[in-house]
Amino acid sequence: MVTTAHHEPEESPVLEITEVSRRFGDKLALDDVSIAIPPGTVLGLVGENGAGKTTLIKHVLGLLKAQAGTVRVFGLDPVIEPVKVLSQIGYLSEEPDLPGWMRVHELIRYVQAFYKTWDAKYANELREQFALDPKARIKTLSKGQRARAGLLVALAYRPRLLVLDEPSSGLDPIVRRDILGAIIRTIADEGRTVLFSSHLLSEVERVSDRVAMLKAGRLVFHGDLADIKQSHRRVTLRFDKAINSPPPLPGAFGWTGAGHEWTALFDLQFEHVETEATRYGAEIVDRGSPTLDEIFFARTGGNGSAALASHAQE
Amino acid sequence: MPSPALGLSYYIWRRTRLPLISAALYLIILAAAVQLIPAIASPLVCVPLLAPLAAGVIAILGTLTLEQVNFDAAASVYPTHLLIRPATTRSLVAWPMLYAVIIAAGTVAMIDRLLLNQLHLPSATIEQRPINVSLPFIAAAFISWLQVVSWFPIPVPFGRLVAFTLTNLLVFAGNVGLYKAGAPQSIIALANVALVAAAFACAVVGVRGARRGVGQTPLPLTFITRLLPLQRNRRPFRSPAAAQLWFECRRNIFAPTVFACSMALLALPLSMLGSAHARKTGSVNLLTPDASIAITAPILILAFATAGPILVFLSMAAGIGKFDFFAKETRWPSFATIHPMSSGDFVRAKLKALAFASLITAAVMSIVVTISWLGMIPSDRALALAPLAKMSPVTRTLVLSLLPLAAALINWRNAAVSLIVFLTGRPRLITTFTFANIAMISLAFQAGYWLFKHPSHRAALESAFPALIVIAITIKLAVATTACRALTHLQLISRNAVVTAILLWSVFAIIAAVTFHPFAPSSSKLIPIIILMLPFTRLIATPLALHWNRHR
Amino acid sequence: MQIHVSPTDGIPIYLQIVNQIQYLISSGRIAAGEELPPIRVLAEQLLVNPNTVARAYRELELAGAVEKRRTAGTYVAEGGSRLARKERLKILARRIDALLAESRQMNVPLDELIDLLRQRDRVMAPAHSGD
Repeated sequence: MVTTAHHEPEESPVLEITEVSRRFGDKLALDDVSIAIPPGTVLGLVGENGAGKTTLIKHVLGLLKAQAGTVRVFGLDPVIEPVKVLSQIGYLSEEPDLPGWMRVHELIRYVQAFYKTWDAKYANELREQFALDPKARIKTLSKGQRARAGLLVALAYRPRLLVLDEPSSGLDPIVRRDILGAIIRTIADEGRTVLFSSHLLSEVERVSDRVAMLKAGRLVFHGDLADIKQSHRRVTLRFDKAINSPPPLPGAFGWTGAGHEWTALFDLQFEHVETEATRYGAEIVDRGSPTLDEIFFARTGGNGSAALASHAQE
Repeated sequence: MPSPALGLSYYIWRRTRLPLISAALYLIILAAAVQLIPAIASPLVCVPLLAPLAAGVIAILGTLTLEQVNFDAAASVYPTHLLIRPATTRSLVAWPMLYAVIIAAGTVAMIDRLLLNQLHLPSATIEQRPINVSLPFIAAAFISWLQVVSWFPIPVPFGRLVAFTLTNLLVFAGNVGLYKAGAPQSIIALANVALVAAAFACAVVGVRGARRGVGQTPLPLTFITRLLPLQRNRRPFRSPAAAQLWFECRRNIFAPTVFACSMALLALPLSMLGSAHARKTGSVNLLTPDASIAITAPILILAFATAGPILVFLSMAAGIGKFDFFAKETRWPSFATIHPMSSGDFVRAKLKALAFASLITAAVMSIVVTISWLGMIPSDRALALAPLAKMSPVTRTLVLSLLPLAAALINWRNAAVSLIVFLTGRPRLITTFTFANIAMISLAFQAGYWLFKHPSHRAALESAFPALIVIAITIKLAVATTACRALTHLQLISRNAVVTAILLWSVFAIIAAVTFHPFAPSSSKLIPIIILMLPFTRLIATPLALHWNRHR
Repeated sequence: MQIHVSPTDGIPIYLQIVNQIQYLISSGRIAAGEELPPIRVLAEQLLVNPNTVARAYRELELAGAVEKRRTAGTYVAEGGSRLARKERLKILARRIDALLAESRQMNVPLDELIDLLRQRDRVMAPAHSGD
């Protein structure tokens, strides 16, 4: 597993998940996951459907109890002290389950009562910016408007930690802009932190400081976005002889190609790639920086895990 | 699936198989028992045993509408994924209706043949034996019209509820009318078949509309709400508890209160009619002349006016255990579980809202009872007051004036005590609990009746009474202590709150003892039982259930 | 300020911002002494993490293209025009590197490449005469 700690945070982490495992029946949803988020950062959580992102987020909110390991948010256990923890967390779920029968103004008035730090002026600004009709019933709102309503009631009290679970799924680009804007505005305020999971890797690349990737409940990598991107290289090799399957070059994964030309991602042992390549009768014809998309695909392709296991990288 | 018939039959089978099989098994066992054990064949024993069966039948009927009926939804209940199948509307309606009719009629026929026919019912009861051939047909008509009401898109708010009431009145009133007119069995059966055919035609019209998308958009009545000003600029809530109380009152207790009060109000015209009838022809004892208790029609209606709302309120308590009464799932949505409010505060809000609901229902019940009372003839009034005849006038007046409060307390207790199960949000646990409860109540009736018939065993029980009481008290204390420990450990309730709860319970225990003293001269036996029945753990441990629901 | 970033470019976002601001400075579209948008505002406009913008501004400060005035924001350095030429050449040098790499790959000798350069310049000349 690739973990890079670029800076040692002096302040205590906002979120500390230590060796958490979770099982649902026979299915192992989370396997020994440890993540710490320092304050003032944006952590992007990526992974395939069913990798465990929502499960992890539910642990942060106290909706699930850790069967093994500990979860500490602001130093507190969200299951033992839900009031103190939840009053400082803003949450937008994938499908905001807001009460459909409520009108927008009723929803605002209702949620406002629960948070001492609610800023009514800010809430009103957001409502106008999102063009939410106060008299409209939530069940008559479109999907995008509902997401905006959920975002409003999650932002208006300026939570210390903003948690978003696949906030952009199925939403049009304009709503996605609103959500991204909200993330950025949150992080621009001193000391506030964002944790969000997403499939749209382009969005994760734009706003995240750190990225963590889950695959089948295991943490595949976790570190600074810049480090992750720098430590991966995309290299295209041209072989003398046409081959049917790629050679077992160490540190390579996500092979694509056919015949003479094969492309793979390499992590960190690039210096040896050239020597290894010549050993297999290949020369480097192209190299570049992969996008997070490419790293994601390569890592989830399956041959990534074999490469990871072959060299103990820390 | 090569044909809509098979496809729909498979779909219905998947939905009804569990209640159908369990109901069938229960029926067979009960029928065998009735044949083999003569003691069970008496109606006082058998009828309570039918309670779980009735629950099963209601469950079956619920599945026959293909989806759960939502009374406040405008759209048709017919599942969309079936509407888009390449089948004609006629076949989409005909097959489920046919199966429903067969299942409903068959179930009722079997219950009637195997059970009701074997019982020795007195001849002067409301349902006379000859009608048994028509019962399955009535059931068929009922279920087919239930399907019509469910599948027809009705864009008027609560229109479906109105339609449901009207169609039921039509079916039952029509049948009762025919019976009173002395129509032969065959005519009654034919009339019901005609009702089913009419239901089929209406359902086809409704489902055709649903396929075209009728009922998907709300009526343009919404423009009226846009004209209204933004509700007098409401001030923000004083506290989270106030906000949650608003939510509970606005959303959760509205339906139970309305239904319970409607039940009471329904009794009012009936009571007026009954009293008017009694004034003309004198009151008639409905039970056989040799029965030890006399029950006339007005008395029965009075009992209905008091017991009905209480039962309705109790049956709707399940909905109050959800975050939103009208939600389909018992599991709380994440919108609710991430509120920064402790489970204890949530429960407190629910209990307060329930108190309001109970008070309002009790008030309506009292008004109805008072008006009915004023309309009753003197002999009926004496009959109603018979249980209190042995009291002094002062005590009697005191008891009568406290009755509304008692009604409110009973309502509140019924709903509050079952909250602990419904708040867990685990559907299987809740279903098991509900059926176990019904089974236990009917068993208690059996045991009571059996003891009544066997005085020797009653004496044995009475001698063991002190030991039993001690055991019961020990268990109750142990459970209560464990619950309180868990509550304070999880910080769901403060120590002060626990102490307050214990004090309140003690006060109620004293009041209960004092209240029941005049009723039971042998108070040494009854009082401890009543005190033991006062709920403590079930109420105070309710936050634990919600905690279990929120943090899985 | 017209900047466009693309996360899928392969170039880190902060570097894209640095390059584009340097381009705007050297081409004169941002004058010397003009204030750059605050980090927060630019971050919201581009929809990127403010830390990324902060890093870009730091890089520009190190390169001497901008200067941070305490509590007053970030301004284009006065000596910007002097550096402009150096920056312009640096940008061109990068493009020439790419061109050279490609021509080597395609086995086109340097002389032919220079001839091609002159040829293209002649073709483009009428468009440039208006400058």
